[in-house]
Amino acid sequence: MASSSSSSLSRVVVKSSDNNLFVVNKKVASQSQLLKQCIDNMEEKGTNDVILIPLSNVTSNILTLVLEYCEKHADFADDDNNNQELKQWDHEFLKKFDYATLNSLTMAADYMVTKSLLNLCCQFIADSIKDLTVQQIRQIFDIKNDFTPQEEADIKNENAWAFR
Amino acid sequence: MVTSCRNDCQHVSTMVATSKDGDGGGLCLSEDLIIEILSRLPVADLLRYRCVCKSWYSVISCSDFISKHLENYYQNDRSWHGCLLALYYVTQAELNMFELSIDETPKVLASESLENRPMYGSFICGPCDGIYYLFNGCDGERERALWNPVTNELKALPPVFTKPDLPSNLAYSICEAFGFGFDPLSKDYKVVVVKCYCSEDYELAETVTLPASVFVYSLRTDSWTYCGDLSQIYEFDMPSNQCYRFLDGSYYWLLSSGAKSENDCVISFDMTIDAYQEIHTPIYEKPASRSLAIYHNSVAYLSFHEIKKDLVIWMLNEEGLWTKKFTIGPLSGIRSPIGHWKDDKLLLDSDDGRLILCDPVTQETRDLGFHSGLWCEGIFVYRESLVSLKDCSQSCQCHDEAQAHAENNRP
Repeated sequence: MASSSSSSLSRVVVKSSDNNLFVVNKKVASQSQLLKQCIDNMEEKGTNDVILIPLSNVTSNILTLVLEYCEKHADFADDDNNNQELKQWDHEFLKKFDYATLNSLTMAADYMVTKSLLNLCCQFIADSIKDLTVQQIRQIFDIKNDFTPQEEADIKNENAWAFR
Repeated sequence: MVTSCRNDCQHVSTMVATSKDGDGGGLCLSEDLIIEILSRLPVADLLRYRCVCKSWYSVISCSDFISKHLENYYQNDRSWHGCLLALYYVTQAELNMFELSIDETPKVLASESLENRPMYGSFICGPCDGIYYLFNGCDGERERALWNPVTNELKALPPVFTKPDLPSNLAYSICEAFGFGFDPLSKDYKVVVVKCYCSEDYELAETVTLPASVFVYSLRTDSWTYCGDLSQIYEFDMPSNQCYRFLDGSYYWLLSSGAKSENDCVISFDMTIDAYQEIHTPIYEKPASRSLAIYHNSVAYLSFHEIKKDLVIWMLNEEGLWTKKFTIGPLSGIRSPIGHWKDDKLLLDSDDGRLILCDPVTQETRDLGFHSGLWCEGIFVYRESLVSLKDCSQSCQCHDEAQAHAENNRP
């Protein structure tokens, strides 16, 4: 296979943790800084081989979603960031998911360094946990209360108005 | 042929999530991600969620988190952009603040006095990052403090020292202009006061010949510095002390000269270099009420003629000269200009205490549907924060350049 010093890859193959392969075009993959860095590194080495990027932390279900997001955003990559249609799409995209899926998607966005998806997920989760009680938050995040009743009462008293 | 680039990927992957996928149907995220999410919540929620567990308590109390919250919450939550506080001075003891939302349809969100205001009869200035400066100049002992009403933290400031060469027959008068803000360069919160003098002997009050002095307080060092004296004597119109944040860290006050004198003066104070400047105001037609505002990223001087009822807007250019930008009117039923909203609208006070929004270009006015029989003292963008005053060095670190920009939050 011929190799050239100024090579340019058009596609990469991404492998999920459960060993499924996804062929992704470069523009879409570049939405993830992790994938983009891999592509850039390979291009610098001047290889024309199709590269395989294994993602040991992302299942194929979640990878499908991340790539769906990347594909949509690659389409709008040249538009300005405030595109209303894209914002609407983002919102509809996340609305479908339960907490477990949102959780995995947020971690995948973090792992794949897809900053805009990560911000979107964090904002979406934040919006969904506003105005809840402490008990509801503990349930959602599966957190055990490690305060003594006295400690908890003291913290409440510091800013009692916030509990009204 | 397929080549693995796993080795290349490893060193670029700086943000590897370590926790496993949530399997209990809920959220199970690393602390970094929890911080990202919590930093987008309102202050009231955060104060409540400190009770969730010990690790959340320490996260929410940490200065790095507080700083991240200032950045993330106010950038991502657009709703606060439409909110402002209108300040009404009722009596020495009472100050009413109303929270208005004027982006879509004007409405009053809440109308309450700032409860438990810690210093009786104090003037208030700010907020900057949710912190207010309080000044009680009405009795013999001068009290000054910084206050975060959300967390109810109050920090008393040391008294301003007397400048070394002050003649013995003079004392500080209760009149002063003051401002509170953040210096993005030294990452420090600062209070600036312009203090004038009076004679100890009331009979000789008119004979004071000493111009006012400028002092600046730094939260980081918890001390005052004397910056110098103004070049001439101005009258201070105490209740209408108005300071405005400006993009480059400078603050501006209008020192009224009263009806008898010719010269009004605008004092600017550059927080980054602790230097002040006196700028003469344009010659306006009297009798008129005046105010400062920000218009299209410049300081604007508003004068409203009390009989003709026309509003003139001057803008300050980079050379420090005023250019007349608009003359609007007559605007019947208006008594004074108050300030501005966003970058291109003005706020006016009507004869019967209603707030009026005015677009100087189209000359359209809109009644904000909010009425108080009292005299409006000022309008501020509503903003609250977790910034702590307990540990000065901590709260000062709480800020970086990006926030200083986001912080440009005057209406």
